Amino acid sequence: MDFTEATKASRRDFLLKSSLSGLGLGLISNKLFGSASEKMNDLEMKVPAKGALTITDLKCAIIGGSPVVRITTNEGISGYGQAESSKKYLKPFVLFYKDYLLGEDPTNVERCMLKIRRMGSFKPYGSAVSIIEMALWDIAGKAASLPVYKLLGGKVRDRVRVYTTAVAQYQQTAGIEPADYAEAVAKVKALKEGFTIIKMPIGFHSRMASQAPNFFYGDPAGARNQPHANRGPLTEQGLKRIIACVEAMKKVLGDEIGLAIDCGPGFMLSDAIRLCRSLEPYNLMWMEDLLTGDYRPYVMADDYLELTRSTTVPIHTGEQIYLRQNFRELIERNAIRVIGPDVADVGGLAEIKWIAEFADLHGIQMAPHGIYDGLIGNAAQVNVAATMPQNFIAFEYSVALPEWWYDIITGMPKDIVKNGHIEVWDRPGLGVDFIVKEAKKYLSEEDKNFFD
Amino acid sequence: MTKARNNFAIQRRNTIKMLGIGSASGLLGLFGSKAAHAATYDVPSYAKGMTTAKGALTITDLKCAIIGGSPVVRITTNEGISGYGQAETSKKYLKPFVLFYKDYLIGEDPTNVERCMMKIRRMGAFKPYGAAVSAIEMALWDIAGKASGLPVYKLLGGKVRDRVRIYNGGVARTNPSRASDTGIEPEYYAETVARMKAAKEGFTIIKMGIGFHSSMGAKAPNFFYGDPVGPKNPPHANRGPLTEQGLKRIIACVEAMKKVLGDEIGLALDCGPGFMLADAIRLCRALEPYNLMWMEDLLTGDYRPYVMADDYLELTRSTTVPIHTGEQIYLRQNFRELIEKNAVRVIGPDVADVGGLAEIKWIAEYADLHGIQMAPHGIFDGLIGNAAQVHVAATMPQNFIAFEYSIGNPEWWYDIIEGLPDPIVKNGHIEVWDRPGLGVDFIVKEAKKYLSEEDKKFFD
Repeated sequence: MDFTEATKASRRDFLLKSSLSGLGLGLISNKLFGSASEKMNDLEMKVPAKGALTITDLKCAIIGGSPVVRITTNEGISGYGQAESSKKYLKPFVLFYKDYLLGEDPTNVERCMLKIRRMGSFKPYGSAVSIIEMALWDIAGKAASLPVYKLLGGKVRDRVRVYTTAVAQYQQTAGIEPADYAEAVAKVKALKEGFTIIKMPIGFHSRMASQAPNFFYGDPAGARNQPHANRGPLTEQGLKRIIACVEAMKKVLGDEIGLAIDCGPGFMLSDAIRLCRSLEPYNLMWMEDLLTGDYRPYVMADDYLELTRSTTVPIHTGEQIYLRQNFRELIERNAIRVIGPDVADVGGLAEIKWIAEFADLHGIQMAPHGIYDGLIGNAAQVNVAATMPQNFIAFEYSVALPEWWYDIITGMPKDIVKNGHIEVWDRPGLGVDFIVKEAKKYLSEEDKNFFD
Repeated sequence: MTKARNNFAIQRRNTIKMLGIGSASGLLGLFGSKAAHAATYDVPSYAKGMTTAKGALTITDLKCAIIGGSPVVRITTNEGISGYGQAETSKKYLKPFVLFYKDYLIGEDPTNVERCMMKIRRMGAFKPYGAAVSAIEMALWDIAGKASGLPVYKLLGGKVRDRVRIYNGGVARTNPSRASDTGIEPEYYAETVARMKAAKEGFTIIKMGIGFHSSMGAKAPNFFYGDPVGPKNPPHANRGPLTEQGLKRIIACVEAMKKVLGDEIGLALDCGPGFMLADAIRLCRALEPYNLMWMEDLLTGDYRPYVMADDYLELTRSTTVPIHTGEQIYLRQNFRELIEKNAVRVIGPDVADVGGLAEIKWIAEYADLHGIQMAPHGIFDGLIGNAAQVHVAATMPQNFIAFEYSIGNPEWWYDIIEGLPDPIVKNGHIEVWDRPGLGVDFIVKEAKKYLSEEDKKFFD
């Protein structure tokens, strides 16, 4: 049975259940809305009576490094959200919000969020709030038997473009020479997913700072440092190395595959300007996080404005930013050309949707971050990206890390990515769910009651 | 093959295995036979129904009838669900504009509201032409809610309040159908707000037309430096420099109203458009002691097809009186300067003019991002428009003050619409209802009595 047939079969099955339960679209549309003359009193509703659907618990487990939140309700519906696989320390922050949410109606997502949203912050702390929001939408969709995108205004596209960050491929060599870069993008280009946009780490977002000789005017940070810890003025040799690597990649990719580069943070403004101007001939998709980004808890919009006005290269940032308020200067001053909020960091699906429209109002494009958001995060991205305005480029595809995640999650299409796109699915909620029996194998002793 | 390539290959294989054979537990649990999942996977209780198959719910027709002066949109679907939207009662000429969009929408899935709107949104304009697009958007949400069995507010992010505050822009006034037809003396204003205050709805905010938004421009002696226009003009056609007597007349009327209302009931003023900037500044400064809720449309507004944000910025910075405008504005793009420059303190988009429910919701959040408040216009939006306002106001951020309550006009509207609470307003609020869609519907048998010959097939 291929996926389409499976969907058809499922629909028959759902309709059968619908008629048994007296709920569901089939019955409502055929019987209850048969003619306009029917009385409102005849309408049966799927919406629970006021206060009937309530949050009974909020749990957090670390599954394969990813903090996963599970919100349970009094009607047996659970919703799930997933944070980046690099944030296993988030659990206590997720649980901090529990007491505020117990007893709330999860289908009024915004009312729940009004209670907890302001108690978050820049990456990584906004993540706890974001994945709770994700789980609330999952519940709201499941309770209504609607895919989440229908609760966000409806989809405007049937498939969403993804871009790939070639981390897995690149790290095999993690070289700092043009040949290494050429080899890495050749491999990614050949993948059967058919990605149309590839993003590569370079400069301070790569090993150049720590390994390339005479790369910048500073001493490379030692191993016991957080990622992307190096920062400083670039040498001319450093500048030329980056340019050579970009040139090597463009030779492989041609103008068929878009090339974006993730650069920092770590550049001085004047170096960033010179680098962008030098790279203009390559028509890059965007250059990301040159000045701030990743785990820097600030924005520096005026610096980005200087940079943006100096070059034709589209300047990109935003993965670390929590909430629309912190995007205000970037967007309203047109300080960047592309923003990359992460659905699992920015405040959730409704937040990134609103910001996408805010950006569109100013002619700014969307290329959301998400490489470590896992399979549930990926499902969230698909649902919300389907609803974004025409300023949407692509979101960053996240693979299962570790790979056994594919064994414990159900609901994703057979080939997730085809021709560089993911077809938007129509299953209730986020449309993915745990295969509990399998997932339980990976729970720690501390988390063993997560699915109970 | 490098290890990296291998990883991807393995991932794919695993996925295929899981979906294809292995896991009856997962995929079949959701999508397989009952027997299959009974064995391995509990059917999630939420999997009780499903969204329509792609393209299965489609728009089959878009109709427009003029009912009691209001253009009413009806969008029909292949599954028997109809959605309704309503434009202001003063816009009976809108019908051909509404029908203009029909061909773009036939065959679309109405539950993907934004996809439908992307097709037609840019073919609208400032009031009155944005009303056609807005009424269609309203009808789409009505369908989307009915199709899913959910009240529309659940499709807009969920409610953040259980009741919504409204303000009285005309209930219990002498001539509610002509908002700007007023007396011109303090006694008239005092009597009128006393009556509005006594209305059983218990309104907590009252708005009165004054200055160029009242009969003062046309009837008050020596009110402004200009000749009052004759009756064959659109509303609020007078505009010009204010005389000192004009200024004092307005102040006296406000003082008279405040004596009646005290500090229990908020007083807002609908003022123009028609004031010169300098007069507006002097008037606002003079009225500061009265702690007005807001002063509306002093410079532009109503049917002026422009915004003039910089003028409003001058005015706003000159006074503590919250400056309000926006009922005529179509789309967020046209609010951009007003909001991003903090040129006003309160905005009043009309759900039936601004582009619909999702548009006004987005703008409410946009305003909130800049500390600007929401007091949406809506006096002539009728009962369906009122239902739309209730749903979307329930979802707005904490910058929401109140929306302008609209009554059935003519009164027989109450006989042809069902689903509204009885009474509708309690203690100046409307409780948010939980019926599917907008939650109101036509009593077709009754409503048919009021259809013109031309529109007689509207409900068929």
